[in-house]
Amino acid sequence: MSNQLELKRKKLKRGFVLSEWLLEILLVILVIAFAFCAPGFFTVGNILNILRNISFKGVIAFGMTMVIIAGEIDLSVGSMVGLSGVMTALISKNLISAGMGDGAAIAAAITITLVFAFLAGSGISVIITKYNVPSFIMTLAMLNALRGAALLASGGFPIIGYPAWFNKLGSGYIGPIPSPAILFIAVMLIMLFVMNKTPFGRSVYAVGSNKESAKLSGINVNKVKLIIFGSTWTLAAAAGIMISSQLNSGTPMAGQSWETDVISSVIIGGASLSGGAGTIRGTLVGCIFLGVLLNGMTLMNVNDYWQYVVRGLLITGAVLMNTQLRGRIMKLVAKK
Amino acid sequence: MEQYTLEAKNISKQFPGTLALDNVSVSFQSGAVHAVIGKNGSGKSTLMKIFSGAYEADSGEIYLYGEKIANNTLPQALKNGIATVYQELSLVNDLRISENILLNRLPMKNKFTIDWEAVEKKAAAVLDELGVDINPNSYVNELAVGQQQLVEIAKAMSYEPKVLILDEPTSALSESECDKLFTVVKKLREKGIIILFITHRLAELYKIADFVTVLRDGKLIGTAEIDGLNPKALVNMMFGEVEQKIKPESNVQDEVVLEIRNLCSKQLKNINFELHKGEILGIAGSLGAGRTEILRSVFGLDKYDSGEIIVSGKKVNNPSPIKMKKMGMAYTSENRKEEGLCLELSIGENLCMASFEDISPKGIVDTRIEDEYISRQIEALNIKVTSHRAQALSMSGGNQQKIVVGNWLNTSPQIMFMDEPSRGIDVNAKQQIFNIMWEESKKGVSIIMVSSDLEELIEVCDRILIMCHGKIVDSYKATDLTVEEIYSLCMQEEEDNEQPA
Repeated sequence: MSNQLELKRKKLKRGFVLSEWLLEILLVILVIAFAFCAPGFFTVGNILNILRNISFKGVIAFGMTMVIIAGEIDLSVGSMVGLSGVMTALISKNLISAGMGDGAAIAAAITITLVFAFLAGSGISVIITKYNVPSFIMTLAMLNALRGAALLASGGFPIIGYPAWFNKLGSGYIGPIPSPAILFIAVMLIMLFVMNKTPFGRSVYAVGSNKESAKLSGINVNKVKLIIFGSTWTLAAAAGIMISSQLNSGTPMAGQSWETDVISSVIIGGASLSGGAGTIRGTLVGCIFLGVLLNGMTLMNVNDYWQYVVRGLLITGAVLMNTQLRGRIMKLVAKK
Repeated sequence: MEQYTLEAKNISKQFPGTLALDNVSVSFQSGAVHAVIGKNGSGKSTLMKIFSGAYEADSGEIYLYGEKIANNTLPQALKNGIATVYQELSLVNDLRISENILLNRLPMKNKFTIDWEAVEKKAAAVLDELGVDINPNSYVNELAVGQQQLVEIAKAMSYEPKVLILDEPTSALSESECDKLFTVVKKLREKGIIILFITHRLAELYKIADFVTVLRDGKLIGTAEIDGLNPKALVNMMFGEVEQKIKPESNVQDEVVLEIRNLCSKQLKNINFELHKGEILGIAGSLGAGRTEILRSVFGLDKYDSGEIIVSGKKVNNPSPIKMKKMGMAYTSENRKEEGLCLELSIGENLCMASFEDISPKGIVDTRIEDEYISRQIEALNIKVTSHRAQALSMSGGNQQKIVVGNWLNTSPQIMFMDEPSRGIDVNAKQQIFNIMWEESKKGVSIIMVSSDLEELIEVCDRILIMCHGKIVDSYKATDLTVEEIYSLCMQEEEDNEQPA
């Protein structure tokens, strides 16, 4: 083997490692920058605060990662957050007034809501796969319908009447860690395992990369999609229950326009809307990136309106980074 | 006195892995129909695409009426007077015939408004000139395929070309539609247009062509007048001396592993056959004869109307890929990029795609078993990889095909369907794929192979079914057939079964 070839391979590898960790490197730079110019950024309290803030949307983002890897999209998660909060509040309120104990009633309400979310998500997946409805359209419809259902069920006002301890679920701490972060980390670990270690995870990539090949290889494409949509709505419902606990009420407008931040985090994390590419690790970094950026800007007293503009630029930059870099790497490999 | 009006001089074209055209010099004269024939991979399509500007030749020159054509691109070729009608129809279904003919060049009243009257008049004039009786105001989707083909020709003729290239214009037409097309082509010949006519149907040559140009493996074999050229000599020119490669002794056993009874669907008419253990069964037939449709229906990819599928003595209802895989069946598609591989994913993932369950005995992927599965196939199939983490995208056609085959071998199948397993891969890889097939059959695996390459079928298979218009018309032992015989069997016309369009 000639020296030159060896050198080339080394360079290639270095380029690959750099591009592989590029987002992490940028995140570190961002954190260092904020540590210097955003007052109170680099404190334990603030970092835990960031962790709490990203947890709600982050939980959904892990589900969304599967959806996007499979080549689909789900625009309805924000509305599911609102509906699930209202549902849990309504059911538990009714059960309590029917004489059930607080704890049992809330546990039952949560269970019913989560099961409902899974079944409903599976249901829309059946429509998507059976009748060939694009998931963009189907979930756009659900974005409206679910929000409408939440408003109808609640009469447009927050449903109050939770016992005071319920608030601990969403805004308490376990040790120093905010409780939503526990859910966030737990979901992340489960998803890391599912996507990397199970046949189902492999199937998600295959389905997203080439549906026909996957189908021909005997992968049950419809079942894979059913599980993906079902579990993403379940995760959205879980986030909805957490947020309703934080607010101590079932708020019909909770989670409004969350889908944009959720999808943004996944895209920043390197997933491709054309399917087949994306990782849970990437989404984690994407969530943190977005959370750090918003938090830092707030601490620096950046105007809210500007924050929206920065978000937009961030998404554009991230997509360009992913597509351009990926193209470069491919070219390098092809040249070899 | 012969006058050559379209000349190609020393044309060469190299594609990755193959030399598609090797120093080809050929001339065509005006007022004549030149059939250009050759088996798959002969380079005839490449040559036509160089004329039409779709490809650029690596070296060589083209002269039209003595004038050199340089920088040939698709629009430039049209301007120079070379128009092409492609095999796949390219009409816009939702537009009128007249608009389709004049697409992109609609006559305008002024800068912003289309002169619809002129559109209709001009289109009608073009159609009249061809002697085609089609209303220019009707919509494309109201026409039969044969009529659409004529509209395509009208569209090409509206450019007033000197050269008209027809790429397999009859492949989707019925007998009567072909005759109508030939009448039009003859009319154009009288006008002094140079007509290049590509076809796979030899019988047609005698009806329409004046000269035949034969290409084989990128080289010009010769040009001859059709009169006085017998079909046998023609096929000989196309295929050359067929060289037999050594095939191991066949391992066909009595046990029937797959039986198809009265299978009927839109494209299939009453299909019946048996596949024996260890047998390699070939299916021959022209494009659209229903070869792929049989495989797809049995594997559960397409629906069928009636019939029975019996795998190892057990009747299968509602087949699906999932079910058939469980019954020990495998299917490699003719479109490896669209239906065989996940190009962005790694070689390793592609090799285990059909066996996710097997590599995860406890529901969790066991990377030790996975690695074993991956390296087993990489070794057995001699796949050239630096790392199995590389994307499938980065592999050559031959290696990609081996990955598709390896993916299925990892499921230890008993019956394999292989649709065009040698399409688009080089000679070496082809031979390796055949060796794999022979090895598997020795182990008792039964294989059904579909191929457009007839030599290949004779070389690889034990038995060959001949398909024609959705029916199995014959079955032969491979050793009893010659390429010429299969060719004429596949191309036979079914005059008695002609259906009006």
